[in-house]
Amino acid sequence: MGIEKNISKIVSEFSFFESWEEKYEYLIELGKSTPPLNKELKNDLNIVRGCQAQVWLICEIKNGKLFLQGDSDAIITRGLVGLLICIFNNCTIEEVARSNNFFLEKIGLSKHLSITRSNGINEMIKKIRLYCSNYE
Amino acid sequence: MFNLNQIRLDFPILNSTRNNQPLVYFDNAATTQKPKIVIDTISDFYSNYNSNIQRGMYFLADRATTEFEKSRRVVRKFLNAQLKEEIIFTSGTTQSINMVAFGFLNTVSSAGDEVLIGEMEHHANIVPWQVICDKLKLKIVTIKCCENGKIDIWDLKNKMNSKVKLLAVQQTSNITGHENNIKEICNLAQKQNIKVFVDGAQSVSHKPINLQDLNCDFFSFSGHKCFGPTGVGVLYGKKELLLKMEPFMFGGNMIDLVSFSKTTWGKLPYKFEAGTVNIAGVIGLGAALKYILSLGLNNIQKQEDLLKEKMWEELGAAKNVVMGLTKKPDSPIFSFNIKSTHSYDVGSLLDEMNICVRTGHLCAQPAIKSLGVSGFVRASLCFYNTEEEVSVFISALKRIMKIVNNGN
Repeated sequence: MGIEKNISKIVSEFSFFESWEEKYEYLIELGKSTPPLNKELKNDLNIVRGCQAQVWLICEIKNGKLFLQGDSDAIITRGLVGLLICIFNNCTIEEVARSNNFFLEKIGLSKHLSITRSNGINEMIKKIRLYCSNYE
Repeated sequence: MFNLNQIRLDFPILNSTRNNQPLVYFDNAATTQKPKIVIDTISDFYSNYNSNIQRGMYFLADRATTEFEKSRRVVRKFLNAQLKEEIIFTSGTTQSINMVAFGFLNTVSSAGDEVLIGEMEHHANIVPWQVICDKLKLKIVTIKCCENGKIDIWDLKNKMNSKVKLLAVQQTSNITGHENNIKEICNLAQKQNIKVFVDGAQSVSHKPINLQDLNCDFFSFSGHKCFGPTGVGVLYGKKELLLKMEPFMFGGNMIDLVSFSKTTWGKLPYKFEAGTVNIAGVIGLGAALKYILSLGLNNIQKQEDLLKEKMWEELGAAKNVVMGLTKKPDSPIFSFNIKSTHSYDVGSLLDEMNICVRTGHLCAQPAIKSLGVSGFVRASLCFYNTEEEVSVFISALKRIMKIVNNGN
């Protein structure tokens, strides 16, 4: 399973971090390395509602697989977008549609990110999953 | 005697920790923490004399009514209003503003008239006026602010004319901590027969208020921003205006006689206190104001001045910090950004260090826009904060800059 494998990889990377600073530094690095969206793609159609910072996500299906792009004006949120890209990109729509949010717990992020921000990531995951289940 | 260590013990939450880090609470402009006397007063009401007020013919109701009305007298004294019937209990500043917008404005205006609003106002002092003006076909005109965040008196003078019926303005800005000269503004407005509504939500916890001296027509504040409970606030209005103003809510407690053909309203202030009001909240608010008076607002100002100086100096000197305004605030409220870093990122990282600030548009989108940014980090302090906390805060910001840059 692609998603499970991707999650395990991230969980193992996060397990090396001893302090919260390192986790954030990782996310920030991920945020900086996530390719930015073109200005015209940061539109109302692609915006994810319910996040404090502005977030845009674009889902595309090619050969039954999901391809994600995204951006945010806040770097930690951008890192979370990058994290979701690592987890869901190139996975089959069936797999994405049936996935759950438990990985946030496994990575140990749920206890670190403020509630509103974790609501934000839940909104992003919801959008991705809904897109795939509508496509099925 | 102002003993800060002793005073901090009055606030149970200030001694809490998270992940072994002490709480640094710098979000006092959003809401203030509550002293034990307020918590105990509310608990005492529910434990020992909970009952509805004004109607019951029994001991508990009598005691609750007495304590409730005592709070009204405390508020009158706290604001130095002339009469206690000029003090109306509401759910907070937002309700107070809506009451004046929907109950008073229609009694003094007709289509084509104007309402003036400062451009730095909080949403609660914009939106109710917008909605009622739309309904009554009135025009909203905004007053510019100077570089120091205060109402531009020149612009105000320019925009005052016989069509203007009301001016809504905050005393202290929730973004910049700057204080408008309310006395001067009221003086100018009264010459043109313009009524002045003052939003005092951000000023009451920082400085003494003397309504008879300010001479404004309406004034409001929220209990929770001055160490009292949430869900309670005050609307002050000059008696002759409150007599003219129409109730905004109808129901029990505010009536005189009810029949199916006609109902008449009770006397001031009861005609504006429909339904069962937040009795515990009102009594708790009384306890909070008495607590402030016991500390002394002059002592509070002295302590806050110390904090303000230190914050202004150290925040201003910190590399990569861009202050919202270049002028020192009147109250210890500081809005700023860290260069190339989103305010939410700063807020999240501060949260990891158990430091509470507000981030984003601060419930004042037009004001934020006028300052040319999309949001701020706002640190708002009050008398129970310490100089040591300021140092912790500045170090935390430096740590954040390191974390954000390390992720290159």
